[in-house]
Amino acid sequence: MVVPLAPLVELSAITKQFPGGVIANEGVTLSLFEGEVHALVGENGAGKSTLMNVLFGVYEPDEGTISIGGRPVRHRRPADAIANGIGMVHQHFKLIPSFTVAENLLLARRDRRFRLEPRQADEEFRALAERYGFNVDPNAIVGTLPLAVQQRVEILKALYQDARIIIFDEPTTVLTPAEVDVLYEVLTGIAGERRGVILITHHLSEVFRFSQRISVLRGGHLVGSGLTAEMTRDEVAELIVGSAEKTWEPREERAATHDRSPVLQLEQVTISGTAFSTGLRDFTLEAQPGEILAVAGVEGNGQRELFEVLAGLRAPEGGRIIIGGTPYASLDRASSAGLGVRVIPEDRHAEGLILELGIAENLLLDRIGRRPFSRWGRLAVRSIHRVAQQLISRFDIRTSSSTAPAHTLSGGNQQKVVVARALSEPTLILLAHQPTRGLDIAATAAVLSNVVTAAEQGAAVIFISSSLDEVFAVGDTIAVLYRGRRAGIAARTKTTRDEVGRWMTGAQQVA
Amino acid sequence: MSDGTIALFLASAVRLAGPILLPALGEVVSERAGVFNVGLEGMMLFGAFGAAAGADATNSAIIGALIGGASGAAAGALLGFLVARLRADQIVAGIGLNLLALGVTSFLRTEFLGGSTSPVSAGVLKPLALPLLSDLPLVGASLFNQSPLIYVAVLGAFVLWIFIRSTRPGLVLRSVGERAVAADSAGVNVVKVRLLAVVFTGFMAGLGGAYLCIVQTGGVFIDNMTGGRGYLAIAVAIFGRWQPLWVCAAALLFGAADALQYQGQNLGLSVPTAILLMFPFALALLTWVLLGRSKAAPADLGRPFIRGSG
Amino acid sequence: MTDPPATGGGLSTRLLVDLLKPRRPGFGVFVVTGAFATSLLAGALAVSLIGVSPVRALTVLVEGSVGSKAALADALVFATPRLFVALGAIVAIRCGVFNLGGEGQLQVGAIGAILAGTAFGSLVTPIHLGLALAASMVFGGVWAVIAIALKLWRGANEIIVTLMMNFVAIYLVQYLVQGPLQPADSIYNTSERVADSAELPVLVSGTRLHLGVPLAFAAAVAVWFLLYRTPLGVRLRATGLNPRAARLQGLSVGRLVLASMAISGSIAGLAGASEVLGVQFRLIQGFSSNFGFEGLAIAFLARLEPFSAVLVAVYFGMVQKGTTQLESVLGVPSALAFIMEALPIIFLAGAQGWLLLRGRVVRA
Repeated sequence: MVVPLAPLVELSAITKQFPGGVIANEGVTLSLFEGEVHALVGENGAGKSTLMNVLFGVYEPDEGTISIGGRPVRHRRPADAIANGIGMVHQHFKLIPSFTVAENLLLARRDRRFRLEPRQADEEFRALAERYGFNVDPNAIVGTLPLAVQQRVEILKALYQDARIIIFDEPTTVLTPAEVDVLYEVLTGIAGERRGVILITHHLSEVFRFSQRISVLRGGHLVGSGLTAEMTRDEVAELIVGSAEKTWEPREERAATHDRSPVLQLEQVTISGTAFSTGLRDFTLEAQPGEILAVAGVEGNGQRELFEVLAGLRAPEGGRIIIGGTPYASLDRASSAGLGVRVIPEDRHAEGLILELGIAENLLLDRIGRRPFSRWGRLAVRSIHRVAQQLISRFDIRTSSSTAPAHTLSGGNQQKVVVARALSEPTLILLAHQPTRGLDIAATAAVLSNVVTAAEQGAAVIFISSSLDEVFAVGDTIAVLYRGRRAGIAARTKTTRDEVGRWMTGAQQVA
Repeated sequence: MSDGTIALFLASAVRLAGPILLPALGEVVSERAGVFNVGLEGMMLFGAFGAAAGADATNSAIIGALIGGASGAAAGALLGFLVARLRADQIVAGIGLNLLALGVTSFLRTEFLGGSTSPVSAGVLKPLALPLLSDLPLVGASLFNQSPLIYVAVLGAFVLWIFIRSTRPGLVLRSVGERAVAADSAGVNVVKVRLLAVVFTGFMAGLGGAYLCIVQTGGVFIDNMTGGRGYLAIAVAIFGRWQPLWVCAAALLFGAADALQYQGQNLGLSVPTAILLMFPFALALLTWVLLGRSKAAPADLGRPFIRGSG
Repeated sequence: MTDPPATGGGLSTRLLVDLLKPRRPGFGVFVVTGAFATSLLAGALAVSLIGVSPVRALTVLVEGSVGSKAALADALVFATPRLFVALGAIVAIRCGVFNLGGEGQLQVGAIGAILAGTAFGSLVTPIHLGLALAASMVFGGVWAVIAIALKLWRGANEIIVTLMMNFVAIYLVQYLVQGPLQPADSIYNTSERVADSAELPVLVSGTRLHLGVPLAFAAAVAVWFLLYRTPLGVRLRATGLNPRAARLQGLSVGRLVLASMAISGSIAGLAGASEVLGVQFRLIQGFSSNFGFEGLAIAFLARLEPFSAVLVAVYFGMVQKGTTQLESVLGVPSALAFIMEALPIIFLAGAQGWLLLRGRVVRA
């Protein structure tokens, strides 16, 4: 492929700092050339999305310049970026769920007429969709479409705006492997039409199969950049994590405990899903004390509902839950907590913590009304801080004070608060939903080791994760969710990553 | 009950629906753009005062009504700037505006319109009998011999209905209320759309206030004369499921509820006045409870737009 | 009881609580000075518009509100019902419930106080007064609980419910004083006078300073204690700040919301009691000149802190008292008070929104 000299886009020395002092990007320089797929890789929190959001006008950079076709530009709003030929396929799609596909596309073009003309619009979209092999009904309500189809709408939107530069932010998170292949075919096709593509991802295999150029971000800095053909996987992997840090070791094989009776059983649980998740259908599972049952699967295949049912947030529409031998048709959260079901939710900001409350209050919120934390309806402030201090040192939470609000902590330390709260009470069942999301390697290792410790102390652990690495690192048993059903289950030692990967795609159904 | 009584009641119901319908239509536009506008009451009050002062100064009820609309729009611009541009909390800002309206209009009334009950000289906006239609039996005189502002309101409902449903600006308006960040990343100027929507709401509320003053009370501005009609109009906008035509129907229902206090005697009701005055609010409460949660609500209603927040 | 979602009717109302917790130091000082300055500036502008010297007006305003013992007492008496409503609003909003129904709760609370205050011929003062105050709290609390029960049961958003219930309560009072509670031989639309033993006694002779004033201050301390020193308070605040997280920790969000509303309504009910037992001694139509919304304004300006609410309420009381003086001395319309109360709210709302826009902590 001949690489032209003038880049389509040039980001020079971009610095973006968020209020509160978090530096997301510092002096990052990046160029995108016509016809190229340029992969932007790095860990969660490395600043990839921020950099692309700067390009798309979501954020204004504090320093640095953006040039398009050699001309310096300023993107104050997405509209400016769109006018300069930039399109973005967001990780969380920026579509209007209650609108039809056609309405979403019409909204994206400013040159349309005053009066909406659905029929003419239909034809335009059909033509565009057919060109890229997308089978999308223009009159479907976007919110009712599967995520893979919504993503196509998002792509069509960028193409409909005639974007020359299209940014894909983690486009494969919600896709099955088969859908991933289709996506990359499209993506390569788009790049070939005298456009350029920037691909944010953390899947190195995809990077090496589909990109022509790689840039690596770490801690907001550009730590390496080059042609894909001239780099090796090991090289890039090391750039991503840095040389000092090491990944965690897989858990030792656990002594068989099959003689013990299960502490948790789900029998044919059925619950409806949402636009972003399929729900559960006749889902059956059991876990023993001391066992880590890892539930793998592509996000959106019922993980959310599994978490909600087990935590007692939603009542299943069918089936039952048996905890410690007692069957429950439904459980509310308070009684589930009373039984010893502890939770580590997937989103620590939305569900795990109350960011404005102090660390001590967050650590002890579930037991604040009991002795020794309260007496006669009054808080025992001294006991609260004594116990909080103990938890802070036991779980190695880095903070200056137990009274500081939780939002002053770093992400890793925030997650430690969530973990400390879950594991400092007697735990019958630990429910961990993507507990390492967005954490760096060290914090990930700390969380995983706490999860393993909980199991060693006798808890049954339901570990829901979309990362095969983690699932194989900590799981004793691995179950796979696919479209709300159990697509497969096996002891870790009796299965392989390939087999689990196939289950995740629904390629092989286990009765 | 004679035909005459019914006709009188109907006429009264339609007449009293006006000051609810006009602001309610305005509120539909705000809420479709995601702004929950509690300041409607204050905007109406500004409109009523503007109309009284305008009619007084120009000696023309029509110009007075327009000045009333403009006063409401000015209040809308203030609120719009606060909630759309500055991202102020919509409830706090709205309540501040209501308090401000109460203060400013009473203050200026004492100062410039003299005593509390002296009518302004321009008087009232006369009813306009629509040719032919007003001759229809029973309903003719009640429905088609109304203030021109009523016709404006009903016409406005139809225009808004078409605007929201089948024009591109209407689509843009809805997109901002449904999911502002998505609209923004499709290139829509969310701040501008919301600002314009609230200014329009202010204009409609101002007309509603003007109606109170120059149609209903015969040109008298009374302190706090809206008496909760703005809040009622918010409820009506929601009962109408943010659909202008349904809002029209709901406003008529509340006009009828309001009419009971004037026509109750004629209809043979012997209910204390206070209970009749309470009736529209109790009805709103009842309807609200019966309807319950709505799935039709604009998804981003009440949320400030912060770019980059999901 | 199943837990309700955080919002009903499709409205997002959680944001206020976020907004009232700005994360930047020094912002509080900025807001207080800014709001105060806005208020005075607005007043100055308004009086100069009608040809009165702002300096002269300010002198009259200050003298009229704190210049004498009696004036200061009046300012405090004016502050009292407003402070009660504000404290009630604080408890509810801190738990994430938008209680805009302070006006209705105080009206109904006044009914309760009057019923108890006139029902018994004569009792020992502490007992009769205690009964009357308790009645106002129960009435106000029940009125508020009805509103929130409708939300929990039907998902009807509390903003509209409480707003509508305000007017229902206002007309209910009107109905009562025009009929059932009107003494047979009376031509006035008022209730009977409360028994002497149910009055809030005057504390400083020669002034109107009644027991309700220190009660309101005590209520502020109680609300502070509730929010910051009891497990219930931690749970209420947790629920208000993040109901999803609170629920995941086993808190019964529905029950907490109900409790906060009951407390909120009963405190607002006391506002009605302090007016009819300490100032009017009768139930009168329109005895509350917009206390409900002024109380909300105080809660917002105090950024939902009970002790700040005391200061703001006293300022509002001074403005109300001072402007009546301004009207009688200089002929400045007393509606000036509302202008001087409204503009700081508008300033605050704008400033906090701006902070949200600028200072939002975004994950990279």
